[in-house]
Amino acid sequence: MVEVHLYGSLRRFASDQDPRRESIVRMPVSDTDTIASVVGRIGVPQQELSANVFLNGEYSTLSRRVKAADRLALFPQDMGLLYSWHFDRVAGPHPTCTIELRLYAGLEHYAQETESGSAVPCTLPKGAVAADLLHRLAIPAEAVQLVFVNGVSQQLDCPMQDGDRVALFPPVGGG
Amino acid sequence: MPKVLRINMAKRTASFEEVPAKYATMGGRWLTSSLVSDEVSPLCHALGEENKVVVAPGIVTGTAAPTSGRVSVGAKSPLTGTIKESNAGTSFGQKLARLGIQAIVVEGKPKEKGRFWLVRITKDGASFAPADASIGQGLYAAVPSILKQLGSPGHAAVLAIGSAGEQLMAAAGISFTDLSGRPSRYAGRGGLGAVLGSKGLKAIVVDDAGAPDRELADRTLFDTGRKKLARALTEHAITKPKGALNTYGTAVLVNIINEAGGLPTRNFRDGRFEGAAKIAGEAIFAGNKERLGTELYNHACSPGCVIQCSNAWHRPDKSVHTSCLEYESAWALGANCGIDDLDTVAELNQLCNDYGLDTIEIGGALAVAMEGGLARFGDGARAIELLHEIGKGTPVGRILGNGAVVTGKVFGVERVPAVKGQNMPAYDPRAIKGIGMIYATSTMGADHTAGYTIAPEILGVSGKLDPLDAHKADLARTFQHVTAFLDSTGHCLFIAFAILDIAEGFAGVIDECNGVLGTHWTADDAGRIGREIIQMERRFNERAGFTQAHDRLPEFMKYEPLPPHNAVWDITDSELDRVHGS
Repeated sequence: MVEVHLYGSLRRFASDQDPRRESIVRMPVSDTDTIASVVGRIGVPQQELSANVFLNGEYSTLSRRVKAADRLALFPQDMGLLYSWHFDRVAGPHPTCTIELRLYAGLEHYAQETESGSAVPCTLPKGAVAADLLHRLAIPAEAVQLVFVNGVSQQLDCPMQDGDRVALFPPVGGG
Repeated sequence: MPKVLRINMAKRTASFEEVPAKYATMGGRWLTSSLVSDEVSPLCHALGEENKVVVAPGIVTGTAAPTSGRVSVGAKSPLTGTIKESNAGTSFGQKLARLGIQAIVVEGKPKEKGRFWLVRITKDGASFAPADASIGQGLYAAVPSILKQLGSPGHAAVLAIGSAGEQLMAAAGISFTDLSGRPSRYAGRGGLGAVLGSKGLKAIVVDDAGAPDRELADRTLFDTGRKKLARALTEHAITKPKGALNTYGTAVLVNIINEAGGLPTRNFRDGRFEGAAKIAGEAIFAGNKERLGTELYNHACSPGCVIQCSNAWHRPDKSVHTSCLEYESAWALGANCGIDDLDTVAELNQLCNDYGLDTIEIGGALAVAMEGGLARFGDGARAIELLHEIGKGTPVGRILGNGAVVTGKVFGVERVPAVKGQNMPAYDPRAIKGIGMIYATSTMGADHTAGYTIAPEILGVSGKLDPLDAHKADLARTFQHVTAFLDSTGHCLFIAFAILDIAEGFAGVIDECNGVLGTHWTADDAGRIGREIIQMERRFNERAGFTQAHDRLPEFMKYEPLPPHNAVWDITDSELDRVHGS
């Protein structure tokens, strides 16, 4: 079981929602579970999460594995006070990767005032996956249909490497 | 032309001077630290003849810049012996600025001990009045009286010390009025209230009736800047209307830091407090809602604030119990003392405000005293009794009122979480190493506002602890520089949440400064100015006798693991020395 502590508007997913007490959901987990999959099973929409996600008190990204007896804490968008950009400010020998992201066909507005197809540099911690890019920009998963990494179509769990060029497209039709 | 107002308490004179050219572009901390560095002997006794208190609004304070109602107060600190700048959110600085006063310098020490004075500043000048009627009263009674006596309705703000400052206690802060005229805003840390007390200055009333708007060098550029900043503040999830700070106040951090395992509990024995949720921002919001029957969002501490994070805790009868209950205060008087009852924490906060005390240092002293056996952890009623002893100046009260280090010495407590004589605030450095580096290397003792590196250890996705490298030292240095610059602009430090995520917001701050001053600063200049301020402060401290040996955390933190992470403080001395470059 993972003990999931919920705060703010996310308390509504627990049975005890009194903000003066702990709002806890207990979730059974398997070897392959990540924070993202547990969040999904509880029903919390990813875009409601701030970057303040803690696993056993450690600031974590959504792709991190969870195991039994872990303590997971989720703070909503309006409570992400601890600097989410801390990863961005790291330079030099520190383990991060810099991604060149391009957003198309309406997704541009998730990165402030970017023109369609112009590159947005993003820095992620080493070991991040494409889904973390969405999380960073608060893009809901259902808004993205196609993920291209260096020109090849990939899934959201594709690991990110330093220097990757990533392009995201929404569901687009055509004729 | 802006002026400096010199108040001489030995001669009881007040005179206006031209601002010397070297200070022309300075405000806030830049100005207070410069004047203190230039005019105060670093080896002076902080309560003696040679110390001075400088009060300075920020560079853009008193203009239409959003969230810029801050005032800096500087001196040599009687608590730490270092240079000190303390910062408050209040209309006081805005009124000074509108009256064209770039700084007040309070100097000299009256021969007659135990007599206190009021100073009144209007557009027509400055004058003295006896403060006898205010002595022996709490500030919540004294300040409204002073306002009525010396200020015109709607135009006046008051700076005042309480009985703690009158009694020269090292945990004495300086109170300022909020928008309701209550003495609830504080330049709390460093014992500056005692310095004013040593000079016999009880209060300053500033009344800006009839004052014109501030003159700006380039109004168009200024307007461009303030709009960029306003946009960033109103967009960001933390600073926007009904965002984190407006809804829950700074106390929203209680649950977050508790989850991170860094909420110092029962004198820094534990990093999680089982009662955290009961004293957190969410609990304050919920409790108010229950007692008032309606949701209450927070209010501004000064005109023009967009963030509006100041809360008010209410009693069951709907009356206001205390305003404002900050994260640091809820922690110091709550978790650090093992107290989980909001009504008790609110009462302790209110008493600190009434007696003129720094809630952080007093919470620290109480916790050390609890460890020393003066009270049990969690005994709220006893804590309230002890607070009254501080206000009244009983022998035990005087011990506690002089802070955690003095209390530790007297009660035989070795585990005092202090750096350079100042108790740590609400982040345990063993869990959050970045802030530990700030505590150790800041120019003002253990200080969370010197550089808010409250991003926890980058443990990364893999869960492995990243090895500490030179980067952490760079970060600690850079943060201190940027913070020193922001402390000089007159903006509230909370704009950092927005402007460090939204680059345009930071650019807006630079545009505002250039628009006000006629300078041509860039973001690089912000770093350069910040560096100059820190280096100037460090030079003062060196001349005051401080060395690298003082840039260290308490010994017990090297050996005592802090649950739940069971981490110790393991940053090496050479890593700490790398922060300011050695």
